[in-house]
Amino acid sequence: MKISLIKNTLLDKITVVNRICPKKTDLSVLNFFKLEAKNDKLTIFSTDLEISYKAVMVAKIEEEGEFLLPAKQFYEILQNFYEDVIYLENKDNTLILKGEKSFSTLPGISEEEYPLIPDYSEENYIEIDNKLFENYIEKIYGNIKTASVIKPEFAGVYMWLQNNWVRLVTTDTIRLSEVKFKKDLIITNIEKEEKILIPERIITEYLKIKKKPLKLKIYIEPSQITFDLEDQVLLSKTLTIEYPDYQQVIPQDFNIIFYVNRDEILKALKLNKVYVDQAKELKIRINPKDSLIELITRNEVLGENINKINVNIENSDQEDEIEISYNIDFFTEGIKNIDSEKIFIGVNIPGEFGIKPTLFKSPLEEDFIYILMPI
Amino acid sequence: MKDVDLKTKWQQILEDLEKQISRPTLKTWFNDVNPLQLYNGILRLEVPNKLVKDWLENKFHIILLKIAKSYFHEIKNIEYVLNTQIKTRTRVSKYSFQQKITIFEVTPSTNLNPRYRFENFVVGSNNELAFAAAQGVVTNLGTKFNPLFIYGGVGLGKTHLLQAIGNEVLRKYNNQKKVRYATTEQFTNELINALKNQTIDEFRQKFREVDVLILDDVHFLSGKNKSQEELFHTFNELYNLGKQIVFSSDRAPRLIPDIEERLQSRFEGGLVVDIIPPDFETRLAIVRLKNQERAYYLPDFALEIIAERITKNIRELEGALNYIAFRVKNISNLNKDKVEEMIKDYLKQNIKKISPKKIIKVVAEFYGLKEDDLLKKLRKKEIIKPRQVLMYLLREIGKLSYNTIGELLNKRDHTTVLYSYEKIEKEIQQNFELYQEIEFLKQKILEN
Repeated sequence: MKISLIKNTLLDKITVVNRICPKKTDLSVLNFFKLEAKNDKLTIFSTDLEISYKAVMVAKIEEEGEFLLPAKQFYEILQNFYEDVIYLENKDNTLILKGEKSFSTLPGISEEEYPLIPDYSEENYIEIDNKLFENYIEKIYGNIKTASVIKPEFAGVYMWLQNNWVRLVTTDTIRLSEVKFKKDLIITNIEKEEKILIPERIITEYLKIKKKPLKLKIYIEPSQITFDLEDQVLLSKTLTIEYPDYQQVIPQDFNIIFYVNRDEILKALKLNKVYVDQAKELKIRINPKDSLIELITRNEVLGENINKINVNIENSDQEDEIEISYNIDFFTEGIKNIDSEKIFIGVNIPGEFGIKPTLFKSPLEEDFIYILMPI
Repeated sequence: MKDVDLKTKWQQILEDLEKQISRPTLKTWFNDVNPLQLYNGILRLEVPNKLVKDWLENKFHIILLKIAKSYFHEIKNIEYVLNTQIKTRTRVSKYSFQQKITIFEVTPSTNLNPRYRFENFVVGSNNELAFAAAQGVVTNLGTKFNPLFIYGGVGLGKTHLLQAIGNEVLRKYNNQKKVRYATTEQFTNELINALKNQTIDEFRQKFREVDVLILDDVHFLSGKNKSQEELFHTFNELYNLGKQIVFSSDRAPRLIPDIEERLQSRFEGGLVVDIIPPDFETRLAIVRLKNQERAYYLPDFALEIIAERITKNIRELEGALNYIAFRVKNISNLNKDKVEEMIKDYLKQNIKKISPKKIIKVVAEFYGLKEDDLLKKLRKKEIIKPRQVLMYLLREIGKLSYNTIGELLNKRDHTTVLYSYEKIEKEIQQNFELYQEIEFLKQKILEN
């Protein structure tokens, strides 16, 4: 193998490779990634058996061939490589990397076989604008992060294709977010109803990858999902999981509904945040009579912080003051992810049928909803 | 071949294999590979993903088959089956104290909610027998009480006990036993879906390839013939393999209407125990536990009042506790009168306005009658009792006047209604079956 190419083109891809290659594994071969030079193209491939990554880039190829390299070390060298064009050449089990001024070597493997690049079928596809998809995912991504700690089984994006709608749902069992958009926004040949749980790893990697603002193509197979970004492909196995009928937990009726100004409450929450302790408890005292809420946080060292905010109480079957507590980070996240000036908050007070979540949404649209359990 | 033999032999195969390939290679490719079964000369191996499947098929198949043949002479081929179930990990995190959205708390592979444990089940004279039986089941899986049948009214902790059995089995046997919990409603719905989508094999695999099957609320099988038949066969298969089966119902097996005799006799074949409403001491213990779990810090006298006033079911007990806890702003100012007042408000609030239509619908459905027939002036024998029950419920839950009820039922006289109401009220005291029926109907009506 003998090739040359622009360093930065390669570095972007190797950054991904370095993330994918397992950090702790007994097996050496998975710490390596594969380089394949063929037909004026350089293909790199890495996998940790759970998720796989393939990238294709243009390179000047003098001699075709394949080679395996240790991901971590190669990434370190490349990161610090100061020239623009890089030459790669292997002699037996050693790779030579050079520029105009620098010369380095790195031991690799030329013989041992690497896992096969999984094939994927493009039969069932969904095509969506990258920016749009990224935007939706970012709104609901927070839940996945905590889910991977609390309930790994649900750590992923539940995608539900209906007749006219597409729903993207995430939950960590304490809160749940749903993005809903018209099916017209995507191009797909899937006509029947489809429900898939897209694993956390592929979502996280998708968000991190440097990508051109192109279309994202998602291929769906019975046990595999593929994200095709034209020059880069991510593949992951999908899991058979019975996702509960989450719509039944979205509250429809509330004891109290109020509207709050987004900027105003966010400012208050920032100050509240200074006063929380480990329990992260934000207490909200709702006073329906005076159309007022108080945000209260306490801390043993600092004392307490109280912020009064005027709200529009739309509906209340309560006359007395009610106190209800939330995790401040989760509460703030819900507010932040809603774009409208006013935010609808529907509160349910615990009662005979258990504790019901609180609903956050924009007053007019229902394209995004966030529900959160009180502490 | 027994699971144990298969597993030991698989270990030996791996040891032999290690002599031929490097240890790291073995670890990467074979770590999550497990033998499933050996049947008709075909060894089925469970593999974690497609990459491993491809790799084993392409690289290790021949060598693996050769080694396997030296242990199992009858072996002809090896098949690799993708495992798409997720491994469950339970971790304690800083979020453990948080309230969860219940439907997501369940573990998908077992359908159990890890929150229900033996440790947080309050034992009293009302349930000690059931509790002991549940513990007995865990230590003597499939041998001591099989099946175990627990019955009792709504909100008395049947589900808690059932799920605790499942969770304890997982804990005690280090997740080595396969447990599957389902409500009868889920069982029935999944059966219908499986029949519709022609995935009956998957359905059977799910409910028959388990070590412990727990089926909640089997009284819902009443009148569902296909589900009864499926359960009958599931039961037989599991029972013959010595697997444990646990059932719950709101009434004793022989009182479940519209159920096949062969199934009924199987319900009664093991141990049948009941749970009755808790006494004051147990109720107090329950509120104390909940008070502590939820960190409400309500004083003891408040808890005593709650336990004293709310007698029928535990769910209501919790509801009252929640109601009060969220209205108390200053615990030091709390006194007995305030608590009493709040309890009154709570009980008042709980009397929701329930439309007579709903009551009529539920009653008609329960007895398998047409709503019209129930209301008409028909004097058929089989309608008389349901109609009386309907009048009773319209008065008891619907809070309608005797006159209005009479109007509703095709202009009957209010004295007829009064008579029916009193008759049922009296009969409930003597006829346990009727009492359970009414309690069940009440729950059904109040559910939504």
